[in-house]
Amino acid sequence: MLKGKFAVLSLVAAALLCWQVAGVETVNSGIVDPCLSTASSDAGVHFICPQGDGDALTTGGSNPAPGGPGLTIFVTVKDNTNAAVPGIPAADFWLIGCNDLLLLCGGSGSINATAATDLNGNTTIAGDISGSGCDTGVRVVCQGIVLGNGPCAPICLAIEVRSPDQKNTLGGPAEGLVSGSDFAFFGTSFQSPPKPYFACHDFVGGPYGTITVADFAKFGAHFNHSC
Amino acid sequence: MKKALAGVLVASLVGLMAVAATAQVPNIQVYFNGNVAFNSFSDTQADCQSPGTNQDVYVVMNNWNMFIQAVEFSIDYPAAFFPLGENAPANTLVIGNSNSMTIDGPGTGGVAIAWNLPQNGFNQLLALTVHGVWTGSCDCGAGPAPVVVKGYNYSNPGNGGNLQPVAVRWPDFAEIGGIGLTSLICPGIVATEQTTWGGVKALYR
Repeated sequence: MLKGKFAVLSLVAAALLCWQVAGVETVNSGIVDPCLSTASSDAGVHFICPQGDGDALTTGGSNPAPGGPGLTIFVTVKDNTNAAVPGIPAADFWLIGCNDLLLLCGGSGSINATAATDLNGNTTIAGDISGSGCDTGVRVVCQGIVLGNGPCAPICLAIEVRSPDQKNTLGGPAEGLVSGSDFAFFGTSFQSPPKPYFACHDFVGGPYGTITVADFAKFGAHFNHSC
Repeated sequence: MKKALAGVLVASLVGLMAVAATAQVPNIQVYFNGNVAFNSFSDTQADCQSPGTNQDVYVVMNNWNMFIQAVEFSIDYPAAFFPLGENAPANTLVIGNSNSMTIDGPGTGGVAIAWNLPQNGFNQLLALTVHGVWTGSCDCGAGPAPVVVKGYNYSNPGNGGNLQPVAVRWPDFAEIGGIGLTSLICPGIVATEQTTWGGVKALYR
């Protein structure tokens, strides 16, 4: 009789153990791995403004919304065991310039993910950066870790970021205000041709490669905007 | 007589159709009389005034039928009128000035004006007020002197220039081409009806 009880208890214990072990695959260390995590997007130009009323990433690139993803950044976060890391808050993601030439208004709040990571560690970044400067690409930052940095090849997404604010009043780097110094700077490349082409002032496509009154219009629409 | 009258009628209708077609085309024209506060502009023709007399002229956008974020154009001024300075509307950025003549030659100048906010291009829209002076260099006997609106840097089309004025549409920032119209100094006899000399003569047969 006693033997039978032990047998039943053993079976229950074994079942519990199996149930716990079955859940092991969803366990992760929670430590974001910069090499195993990935970020990808189409290439294109992204117009930003310090006031946060630039263009959404979804509207850029060769395949913009509503038909396509535009320049939406697709992110998958994994830990050092290559397990997906779900539940990372949207606010824990932001972007920086590949050459560190962007001034982010509000710091890490200048742009965030659209939602927390799902069960597969996936999320997207699709809004617009509140910021200034001009850079030839962006990197995704998750919880302070630059994805793709470290021992693996850095992931520099080919999203060219351009803001009308590129100079401060002393002629130095952007300060978060589209001011007269930026207007004077813009004038140095208006119109191109015949003036030398300066990509950082090419705000409007269709196609890119010239600096015309359309670029001037976009500059004027954001004049005096600030962080 | 009936045939002649019918001919005049047809000519008149054709003329009216031409006027109507021109009126629908987005254009920019210089006006010699205006009330900026009421956005009201008139007189595309003016008599030559005595030398030294001040004159404001108004560069107005007509029939664009879109929201306008920016515009660029130039103006060929006749010798009778000399532009001294110009004012763009409030909350605009301006590059250059309207005179098409620069030290690089005729047709190499122009002005680009960008508004801070989209403007209502469904009505007449004042783009520029030019403050000038009459020079007295008028030879009205030789015919009217035209004040012609043209494109920015129109001598170099495709190389930073355009033959005709261009405006930028909001919100897509597309460049939309228009035409520059001609205003007249020393207009002389002004036709009041669209017809031909043949049509007029036919009335007296």
